[in-house]
Amino acid sequence: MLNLGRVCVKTAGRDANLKCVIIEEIDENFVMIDGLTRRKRCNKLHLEPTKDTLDVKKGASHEDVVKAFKSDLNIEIIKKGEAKAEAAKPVKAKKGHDKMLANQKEAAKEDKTEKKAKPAKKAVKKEKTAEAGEEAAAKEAKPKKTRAKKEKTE
Amino acid sequence: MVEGKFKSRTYRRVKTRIPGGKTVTHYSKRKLSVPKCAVCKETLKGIKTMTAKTLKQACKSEKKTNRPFGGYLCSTCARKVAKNIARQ
Repeated sequence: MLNLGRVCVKTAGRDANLKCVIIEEIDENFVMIDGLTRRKRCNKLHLEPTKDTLDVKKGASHEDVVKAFKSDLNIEIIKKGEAKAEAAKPVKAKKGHDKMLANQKEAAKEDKTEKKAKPAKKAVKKEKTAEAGEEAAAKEAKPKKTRAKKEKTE
Repeated sequence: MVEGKFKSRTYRRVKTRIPGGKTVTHYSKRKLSVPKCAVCKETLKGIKTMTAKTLKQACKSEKKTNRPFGGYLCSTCARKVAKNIARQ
């Protein structure tokens, strides 16, 4: 059973309950394994074989083993540092959180439209400021009460 | 009078007969309990016996072994779990 390419589960040690592949046979009692466990020499008595096999050459590198696991068994082998960074991402859902996100999205969309329209509006604004200068000069001559009304209507 | 520390229940009261013929109370300390496997009730190895206070102050390596189900199951019972996982 314990031949080249056989998928096993390790029973003993600190990496127990993890799957591995047999890469090479060293002795009557020892075997070389790789996979979710470390790449090391292991006793045959500490392995429990499964019904799966992989296409792996003798003395295969770690990258070839990772590819074989993904193609045949759909198991991804991730390094420890990357796994911790992925696990730290999930965010807790709160009440009203969806509404807040929706409002933020709308505000972001409005900002984008304003930014796009601003360079086109600059040419128009320059003309308006010239006109506004004339109007301001005319307003200063009039009393304040009428000016307040005019500002509201405008 | 009795010393203050002997009034606690961690000390056991033992009645002894001294050569003069009297019976006298002596105080002896109780032994702490030992950690055991949850399934087969054997004593676990690599773990020290401690009171609740020293357990809080101790480090991880004194309270468990570096193995899945370390500090809870013995090595033989943990291997049976791995076999069941492989046979599914």
